[in-house]
Amino acid sequence: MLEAKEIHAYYGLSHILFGVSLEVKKGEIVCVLGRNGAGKTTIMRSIMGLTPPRQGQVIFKGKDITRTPVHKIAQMGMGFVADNRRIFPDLTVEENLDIASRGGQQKGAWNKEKIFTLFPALKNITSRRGGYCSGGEQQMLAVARALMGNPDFLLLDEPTEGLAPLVVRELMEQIGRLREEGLSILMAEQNVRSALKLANRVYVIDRGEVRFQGTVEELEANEEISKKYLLV
Amino acid sequence: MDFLTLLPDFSTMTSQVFIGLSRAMILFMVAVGLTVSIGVLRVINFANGTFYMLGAFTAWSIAMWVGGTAGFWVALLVAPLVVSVLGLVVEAGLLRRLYNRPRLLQLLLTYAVVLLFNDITKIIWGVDFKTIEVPLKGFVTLFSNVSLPSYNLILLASGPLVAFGLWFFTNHTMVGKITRATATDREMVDALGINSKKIFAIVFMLSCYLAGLGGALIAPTTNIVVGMGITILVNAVLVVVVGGLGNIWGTFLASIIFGVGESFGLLIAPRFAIVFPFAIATVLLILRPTGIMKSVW
Repeated sequence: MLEAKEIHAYYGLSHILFGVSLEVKKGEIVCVLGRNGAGKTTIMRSIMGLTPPRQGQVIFKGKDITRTPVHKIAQMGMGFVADNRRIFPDLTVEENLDIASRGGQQKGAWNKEKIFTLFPALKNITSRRGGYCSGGEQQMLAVARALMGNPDFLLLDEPTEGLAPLVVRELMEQIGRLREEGLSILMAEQNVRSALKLANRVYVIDRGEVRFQGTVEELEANEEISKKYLLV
Repeated sequence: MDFLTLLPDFSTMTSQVFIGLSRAMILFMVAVGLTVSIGVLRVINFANGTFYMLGAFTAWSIAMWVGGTAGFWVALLVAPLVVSVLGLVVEAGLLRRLYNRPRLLQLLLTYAVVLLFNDITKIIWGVDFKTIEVPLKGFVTLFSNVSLPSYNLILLASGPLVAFGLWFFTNHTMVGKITRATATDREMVDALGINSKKIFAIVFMLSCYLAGLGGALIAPTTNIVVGMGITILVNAVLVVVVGGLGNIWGTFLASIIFGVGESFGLLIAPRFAIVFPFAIATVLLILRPTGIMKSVW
C-alpha cells in the first residue's frame, strides 16, 4: 500500500529525518512511536506531501508520489488527520464534512449517514462551529472529515493527544473498526499502551531515525528499546 | 453666534447623507475585494484600485461601442467580467509565484501592477478624462422634500446587493464554504484533496470583479481619469483596517461611516472635507485598534 524509502526531510535548513524507511501493507495498522520531537509528525507530513522529502522516495499504490502535489495525493486515496486536529474553526461540523466529501457514489462509500453511525456523537452537533467543539468531538470530526474523501489509506497523527482516557478507548475502538472496513492506517502515537492494542506492527523513531521495527510482541519483549526511546 | 445657524437645513442634510451612502457603496466594492484577498490570500493587493479604474475605462469603451443608453447597461454587465479575466491573468502570471514569499515582495509586485496598468491605460485611452452620460436622468423625491439623482438609487441598492451576494456565496455555496476553510488553513484544504490554487484564483477574480463593478457603476457620475484608482485605494485600505482585516461586514460598516462622514464634512467645512475620513479612522482605531469587527489576522 505505502512504502517510504530512505526519506530525508528538512524544515528550512534543519535536517529532521535521516533516511527513514517504513512500509504499510494492505489492511494493516502500523504505529510510529516515539517521544515528542522524535520526528513522527514530519514523517506524516512527508508522506502526505506537505513537507516533501528532499531525498528518498514515497511510493503509494505502486506510484512514486514524492513530488506529487498534496491535493493529488489526497485524491489518490490518502486521508490525513493532522496533529492538533486542525478543524476549520469557522465552519460548522456539517460544513467541515461537506467540503471534504468527494464523489462517493459507489456502494459502501462514506457519506454523512455512514459517518454518524460510526461517530453518533457528531450527529447531535452538526450545526456547531468547529472551534466550539470539545477536544474529543474535534478528533472524531478530524477522522470523519478524512473519511469523507473515501480514502483507502489513513495517516493519523497523534489522534489521542489531549483526550480523556474514556474518549481514547472509544476512539481506538472506532479506528479498529476502520481496519475492518478495509482501510490501511499509519498512526503516530505517544500513548504507547492504547496504540499497541491496535497495531499490527511498530516502528520506534528517535531523532529522525528508525531505532526499532517489528511486531508488538517483539517490542514488548525488548525492554531496552522501550526504556531508551519510549516513556513506558 | 448660534452654531446651529451654520448648519444647512434638514432636506439638504438628508440628501447629503444619501449621496454619502451611495459613495459608500462604491467604496465598499473596492474595499471588500481588498479585505477578501487579505483574508483568504493573505495578500494586500494595492492593484485593487487599479482594477476599479480599469472597470471605469472598460465601461466607457463598451458604452461608446454599443452606443445609446443601452450602451451603459451592457457595459455594466460586461466590464466587470473583462476586469476579472484580466485579474486572473495577473494572478496566474505574477502573484501566484509570490504567495509563500515575504509580504514586502507581494506589496512591491502589486504596486508594480498599479504603475504598469496606469501606463497601459494612458497608451490605450490617452490622458484626457472620459465621461459617460448618466443612464437614468432626473431626480426622485424622498420624504416629500429631499431630492436625489435617480441614478443614486442604483448605487444605493448595489451595495446591499453585493453584500448579500457575498454572504450567500460564503455561507451557502460549496466553493464559498471551501473559501472560508482556505482562509484559516490552506494546507488542510489541500490535504482534503481540494486544489487551493484554484480557490485562490477564484477569490482574486472575485475581488477584481467587484472592483471592476464599482468602477463601472461610478463611471457615469464622475470624470474617468488615470488617478482614480489610487484615490479610492487609499480610502479602501483605511476602510479595511477600520472594519477589521478580512471581515466583510466590518468593511460594509466602515464604508458607510466613511461615506457619510465625508459628505457631512463637505457640508460643515468643505475646505477640510478631505481630512474627515482620516480623522474618523484615527478615532475609531484608537477606540478599537483591531477594527470595528473581528479581524482574521
